[in-house]
Amino acid sequence: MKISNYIKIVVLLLFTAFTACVNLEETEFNIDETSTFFESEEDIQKAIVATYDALSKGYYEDGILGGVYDTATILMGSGIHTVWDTRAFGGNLFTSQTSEIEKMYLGSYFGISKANLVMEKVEGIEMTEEAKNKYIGEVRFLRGLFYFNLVQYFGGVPLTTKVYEYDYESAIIPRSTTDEVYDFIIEDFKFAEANLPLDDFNGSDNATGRATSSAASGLLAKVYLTMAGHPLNKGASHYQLAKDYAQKVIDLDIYNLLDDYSTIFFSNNENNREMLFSVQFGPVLEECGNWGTWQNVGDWIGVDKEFGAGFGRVYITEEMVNAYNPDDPRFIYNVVTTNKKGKKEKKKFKWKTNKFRFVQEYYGRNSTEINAPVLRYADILLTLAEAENELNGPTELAYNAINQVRVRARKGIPSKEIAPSLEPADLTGLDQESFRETVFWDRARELMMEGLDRFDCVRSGNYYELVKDAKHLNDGSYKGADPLPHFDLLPLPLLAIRNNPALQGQQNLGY
Amino acid sequence: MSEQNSKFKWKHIILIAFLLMGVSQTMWSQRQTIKGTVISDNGDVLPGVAIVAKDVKRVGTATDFDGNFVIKVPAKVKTLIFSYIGFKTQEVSIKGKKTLTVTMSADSKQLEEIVVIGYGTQRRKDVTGAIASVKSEELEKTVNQSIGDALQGKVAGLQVVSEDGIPGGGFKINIRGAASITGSTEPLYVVDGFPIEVFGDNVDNDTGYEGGGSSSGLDFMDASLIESIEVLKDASATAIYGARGANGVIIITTKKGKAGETKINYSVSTSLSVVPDDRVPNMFSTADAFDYLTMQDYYDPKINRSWNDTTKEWEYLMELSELTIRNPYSDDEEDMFTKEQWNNQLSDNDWVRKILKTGVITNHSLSISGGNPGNLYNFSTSYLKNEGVVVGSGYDRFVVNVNLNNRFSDRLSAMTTISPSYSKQYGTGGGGGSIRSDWGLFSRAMNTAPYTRVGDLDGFENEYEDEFEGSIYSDPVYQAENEINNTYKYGFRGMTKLTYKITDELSANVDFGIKYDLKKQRKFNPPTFGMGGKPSIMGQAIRQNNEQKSYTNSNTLNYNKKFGKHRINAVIGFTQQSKVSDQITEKARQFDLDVQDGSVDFDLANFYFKPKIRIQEVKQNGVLSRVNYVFNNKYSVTGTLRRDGDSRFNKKNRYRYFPSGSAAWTISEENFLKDSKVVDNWKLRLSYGKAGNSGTRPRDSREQFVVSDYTFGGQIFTGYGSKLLVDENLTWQSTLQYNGGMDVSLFGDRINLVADAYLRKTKDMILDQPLPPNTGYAYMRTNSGNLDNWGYEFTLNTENIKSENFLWSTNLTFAIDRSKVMSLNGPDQQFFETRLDHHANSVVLQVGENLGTWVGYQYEGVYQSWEEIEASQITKNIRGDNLQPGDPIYADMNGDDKINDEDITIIARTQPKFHGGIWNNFKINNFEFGLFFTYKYKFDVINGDKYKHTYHSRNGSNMLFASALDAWSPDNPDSNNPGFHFDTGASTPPLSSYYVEDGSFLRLQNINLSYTIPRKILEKSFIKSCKIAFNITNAYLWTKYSGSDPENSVSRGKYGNLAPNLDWGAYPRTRNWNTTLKIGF
Repeated sequence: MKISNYIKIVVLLLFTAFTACVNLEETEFNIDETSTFFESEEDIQKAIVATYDALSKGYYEDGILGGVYDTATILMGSGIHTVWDTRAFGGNLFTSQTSEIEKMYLGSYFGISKANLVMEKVEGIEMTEEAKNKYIGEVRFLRGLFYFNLVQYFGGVPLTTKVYEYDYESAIIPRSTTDEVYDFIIEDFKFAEANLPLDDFNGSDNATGRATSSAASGLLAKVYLTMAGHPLNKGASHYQLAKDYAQKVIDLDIYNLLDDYSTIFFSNNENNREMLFSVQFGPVLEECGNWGTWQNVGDWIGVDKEFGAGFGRVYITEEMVNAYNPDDPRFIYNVVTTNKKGKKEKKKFKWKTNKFRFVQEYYGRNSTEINAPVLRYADILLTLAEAENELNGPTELAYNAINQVRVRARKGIPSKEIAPSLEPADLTGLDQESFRETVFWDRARELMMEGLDRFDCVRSGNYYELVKDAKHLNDGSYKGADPLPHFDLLPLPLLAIRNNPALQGQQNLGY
Repeated sequence: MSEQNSKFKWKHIILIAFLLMGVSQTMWSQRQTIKGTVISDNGDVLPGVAIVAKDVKRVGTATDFDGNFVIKVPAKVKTLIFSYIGFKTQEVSIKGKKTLTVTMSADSKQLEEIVVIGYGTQRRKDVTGAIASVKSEELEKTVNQSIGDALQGKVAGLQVVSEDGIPGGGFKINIRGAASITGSTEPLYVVDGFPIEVFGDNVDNDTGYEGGGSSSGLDFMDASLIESIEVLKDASATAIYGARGANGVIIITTKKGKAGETKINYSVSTSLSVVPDDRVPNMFSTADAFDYLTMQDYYDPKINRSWNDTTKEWEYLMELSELTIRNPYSDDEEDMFTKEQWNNQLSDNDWVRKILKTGVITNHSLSISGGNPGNLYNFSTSYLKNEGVVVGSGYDRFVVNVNLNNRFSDRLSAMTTISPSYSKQYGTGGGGGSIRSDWGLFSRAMNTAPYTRVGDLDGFENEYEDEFEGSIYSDPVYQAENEINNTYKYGFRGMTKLTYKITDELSANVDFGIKYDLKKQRKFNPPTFGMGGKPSIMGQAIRQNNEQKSYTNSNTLNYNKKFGKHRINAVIGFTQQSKVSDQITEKARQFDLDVQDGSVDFDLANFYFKPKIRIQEVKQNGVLSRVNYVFNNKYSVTGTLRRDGDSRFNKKNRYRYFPSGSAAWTISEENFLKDSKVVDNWKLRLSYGKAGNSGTRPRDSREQFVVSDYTFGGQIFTGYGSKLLVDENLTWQSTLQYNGGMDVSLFGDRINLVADAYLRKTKDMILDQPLPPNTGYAYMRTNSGNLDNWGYEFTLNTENIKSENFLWSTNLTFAIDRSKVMSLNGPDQQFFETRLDHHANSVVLQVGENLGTWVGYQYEGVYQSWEEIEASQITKNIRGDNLQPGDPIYADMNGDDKINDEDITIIARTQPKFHGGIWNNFKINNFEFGLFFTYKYKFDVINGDKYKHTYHSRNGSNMLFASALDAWSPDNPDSNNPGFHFDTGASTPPLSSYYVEDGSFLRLQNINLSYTIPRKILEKSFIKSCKIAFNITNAYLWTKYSGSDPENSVSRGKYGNLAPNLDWGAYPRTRNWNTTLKIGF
């Protein structure tokens, strides 16, 4: 064979091999792409589930900012320490770089972006107008809740209302005013109120634990109550709105107070008639949260295992202990002293919380299926009492609302064999000021560790006054820094400022 | 030359030969016969060595396969000349000798040297790009645990970065500095023609466990298997690898068989390794801890001090000597210890030193090679066992490498490589395979209170919470012995290359290769102890299997032609590669107390996590071409063009061209220098070209929806959400590189200098660009911004003194590498998180700055008195509290009399001013002595251990260095260390220049002394060669750096580029005493 023929063969060989192999399509593995995902109503439903998931995997998951820090200010001493940044809250040592603050901020916007995505994509998919509004209502409820938390922690924040692709520039937006953020929240909750089913007790159609119209009404009451106080100080007009929305929820006659205080929080009875909305954690490890764990005293500091097995890192301040009448069944249930064998407790205050209990064998202390409560009926009653008192003084309506909560508390806690008590007694004959004072502490007694205490303190306008003289700060056992006047807002996370030039120079005062 | 001419010439020659034979009949009797053997200086026999008589024409022969020769020469011949490619030509006197044994020494600098380049080889003379070669002889002169060790300091401009000293640990190589951030900065490794690429990043964000082992994927390589390593630095050399050449290319060629009788080489080496004592941190003793705790109470305004407004002084309520600390082992809170009781009743353990021991490293390697020119073989195997210096840690590796060269006909031949390997890495010494460095055993030992009783287990009866609340670890020795952390790797590499010589000039090559790797990680934290600071989860087991298969094929036509003064070398072809990685991670928790290894008894767990499965695939193809033209050995030019495709990018961005061009002028071939006695070679090189870097994860350019479930009323619902924001336009980052260089050889090759200057402009860097968090996303992987790297490299090899029995040679490498961010999408300053504790924004990418820049506060000592505070404009500390003496002084960068986030500034630049290595070798008869130094000058190191172990937290969450007692206090007012009350505004202090140190060092990396037993002694035995060597590695370190080691850099993945030089909880680097015996049969 001639040389030229060899060349021909080889070249041909190479060429055929070449053309056969240029295909770069991946054959082993394929996954959904955006274009194929948002095609059907079912896809929208899955995206909504992912929006809820942002709630549970965000800051509510471990409950540091979701609840524990709330109460850190007046309820908690030098408690949660040793575990990374969480000690920053117990010791008043947080900064703009504290990871829990970043997690709160980023986690909220992560959920907001999910909600915005659903709102955008739902438009292109064929479905009934009713279904569409329900889906939008659901994500607007969640978006409203994310912003409600953000605005209470940080004040005015950037309002993200659309989906960002990779247009970096359009995401550089400054802080909206606190007013603007509240207006936005109100719009979201109002839409949800108008388009969601009244409750989540009717089974398959609207599964348990979902956002409802009633919860939206209840949150509107809370939003207006918050706006009425510090820092917006909207006053009477908003107390009136808070009262109206609280009354609206009561008039629905769907929700009520449970007889047994402890069963509200049991992991096996969480979606009950008292709970308007809560962040749901599930029975498998991946769906568990840390919410219950921080707050449960657990067996490892010497309390019976029957109480569960939490971290037991939250100490309660003397002020909070003193706020309870020792005969109050809620005190007996919520607060335990850790005195088994002394266990080297140098702390002068040895009270810890044991409110959220779980009955399952523990997955390890940091994972439980205890839900994080967002809004329950007792809060609605106390909201009504507070708003009515601000508007008209301690009227019959106000007494009636607050005393309902007290009556239930007196009934004792049968499931834990805590007997009925004469305390807390019904309230009578208070003036407006002392009623205000009582509602404040009644909220703490009833709702402690539910993530509301800090907001109540800020709302009262006396945040610093309330926290600065806490006894534990000066008893020698406290190993943190003193609170400072500007702590009524958290610092915007440094990364939010650095990565969004429009926020430069807009850090909260004092930080 | 025409054919007729040559025929004519032959006729003449034959005629003359006949005539001569006739004339000189009488002279035959005067001839002498010389026999002998030619061997190389490492004892191999050399077949085919040309032997000619000096000053007499046409008398010559060559050695046979066994290196033997017989030559008859006229009596007047006094000297024979021996020459062989790759060896120095030698003249040997034969006066009065009948037999000769000639030892030829390798000549790596010889101009006829052949260099392996991409898809072919080239004469060193013709090379136009910047290519450095390291031969096996150089590799074998030092003791190397890895290829990283072997290259350290030997190639100018090549930096080897290893996290720490963990046995079998990974290393990273940067050629000419890092030129990428999120994308890989590793060069492309090509082993026997097979591109080995680190595939995706294997970090599992949920478990924190990552790839582990060698990040370069080269951990299956032992230096003893390697024939040569070529480092391709400039674009001209790397452009043939197109999209993957931007970070340089390292071509590794394993040993091939050589014709001749079967040769067996065996080498055994044993090292003892220890941690130099001055590099072991000194933590609190039990007595120190008491002093510290009482001093903290003594100086605490809340406990023991009150400010007297009239005297303006502190009043102390109790004397220091009166203060007591609670017995950490008592349940009774009133059980207080005096100093005496404390010191007498508590144990005192130096946990760090307790977990250290003397390590033993043994390495066996065996190679059998030989064959006839038609069928050559080389069988090499190596076994390494490294018992680490931290209790319970170590590394075993077994590698086989078989090379076969078969010639089936005059035209068709094949080269085959088969290489199976196995390794096991065990123990949790350093980072321990965990992202969180503070989970590594070494960190845990540093964090364990000295009075922890031996056998104390966290989470159970003896668990306690004491003043140092962070130290809730169990006895570290117990942990080291009971924790399981094993990584097994099974690898197989097979490659065959068929060559068909179509004509003498043109040949076709077809390569096929497969590579299979299975990595199994098995981890178990027994239920008997907790995991670093976290409450017990009753044991956790993690099992991860990662399977990677890849195949490659390349088909090329090579053309090699010389006509007259012209020489052409060309290659054209195409190549394709596909890789699939399949990873499954399983996690289980809560085991019974008697479970020894939960990763084996996985089914005994009470709770399981859903297994995580990740499959990734990449396909690549390329069309390549290169032409090298040389005229008259003087001028050469090379042009390269490659077109590459990569499935990682979307269709519109999938293909791209990568061209390059270069030229060289060998001045020494010009007439005016040709006969110079001084200049042997002088070549100038210039090149320019483009290469790419696709180092990103598969599917980064496509939206990935992930399962995002939620529970409604205890029932799990499936959700889908995207985790990341995706840039559909993502594509290669590309680099344009300019290179100018010069090769000079002087005085008979006694001085060799290679000098290069380069400028590399990287465009469209692949970057996880931070986004405004209000988008809902923290970052997006995109092409953002441009980066310039530039620098100078020098390699100087000299033979300072050279005589028959003595040789002193010096190799020096010196490099200056600089980088500068030229532009960025988005803000000119972009901040990134690091893994040092939870500092979210500690490194910056800033236009005008170089890569690897850390930010924090500028530390300027402490306020030593009230007067100093009054004189200062600043009244508040970072968190807004009033300043007091002992508080750190941070520079007020913006002059607003406040210290806050806006005063954060650059505190560390991690690029050295220059770096390199110096190697002095002495050869006296059969002795060789070498001193090998590496150095880096002026670069910052973040002393993470200092950060973790010096700050005074009121919460006492850290064990401290003994030196922490030298804190500022009213009684120690001259101290520049923050006071005991150090109240920083965070649970951990802010990062500041207090923790940054200059890492400049000179390291005596290797002392080598070896003796080759003279051949004469061995002549009668079956042993052909024998060499004994003693080495000390990491013999001494000169540095002012106070931490563990200035070369530690525990950040991984993209943090490795963004936040390098973090020395934190690192597995200690050891000093090794090594003995090696090499025997040839």
